[in-house]
Amino acid sequence: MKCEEFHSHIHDVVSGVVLEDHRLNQLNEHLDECESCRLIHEQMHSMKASVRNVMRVQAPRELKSTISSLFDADRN
Amino acid sequence: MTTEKHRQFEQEVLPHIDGLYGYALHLTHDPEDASDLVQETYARALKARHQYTPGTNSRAWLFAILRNVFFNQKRAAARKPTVNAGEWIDDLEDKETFEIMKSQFNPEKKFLDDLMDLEIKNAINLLPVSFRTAVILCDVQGFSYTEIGEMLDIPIGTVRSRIHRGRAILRHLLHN
Repeated sequence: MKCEEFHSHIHDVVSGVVLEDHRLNQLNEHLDECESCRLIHEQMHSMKASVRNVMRVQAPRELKSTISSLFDADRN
Repeated sequence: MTTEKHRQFEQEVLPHIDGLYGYALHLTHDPEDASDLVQETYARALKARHQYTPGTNSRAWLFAILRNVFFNQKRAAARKPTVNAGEWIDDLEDKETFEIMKSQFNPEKKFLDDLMDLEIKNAINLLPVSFRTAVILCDVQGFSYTEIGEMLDIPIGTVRSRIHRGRAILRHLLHN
């Protein structure tokens, strides 16, 4: 596998898309051989984790309480 | 709807408040508007619960309702005078409710200090909105390409392309 082809699949791997076994093997073989693609692969996973951590928020307590009340009122 | 079905419905839809609120913040850029949007989403979901099949994808269903409510409101607001967009962006920075869930950080990611958080947020905000939406739905909310395609009403190839290009820009901004 060439770097260009690896790049076209790496995002799918990071997205959790299930690839066919032979494709996955090709990607892993390329990772073993190519240092620059290995770096991109690591950066992509690390970036996804960072974005998730930074962008994840918790809803305010008041909102949760208001929504619970909506369901309570509907039940009664 | 029986009491048991009511309970099951609640159990399936209530755990998604945090995710919906995060997505509502992405759409509205305003914590109060985001809260209103999530509240309206649940009110609509309650009214439409007979359309929901228990055990199916409640999260995607709720996100679709939220998007519909948001864009309907936006269309209605477009007919009225608008506020200066800069005001709510400044306001957002001051809102306690936009605090990041620091407790959710993986201990191995401690190098992500406040400065890094800010850099990441700035980089995300620099993305074209269509790329940003796709990246957030995939990387933050964990939706599949198929779910995102259905939600945004675009082909899977377009979802894939937006995520790829969005991440490539982010990587360029964060690692160069």
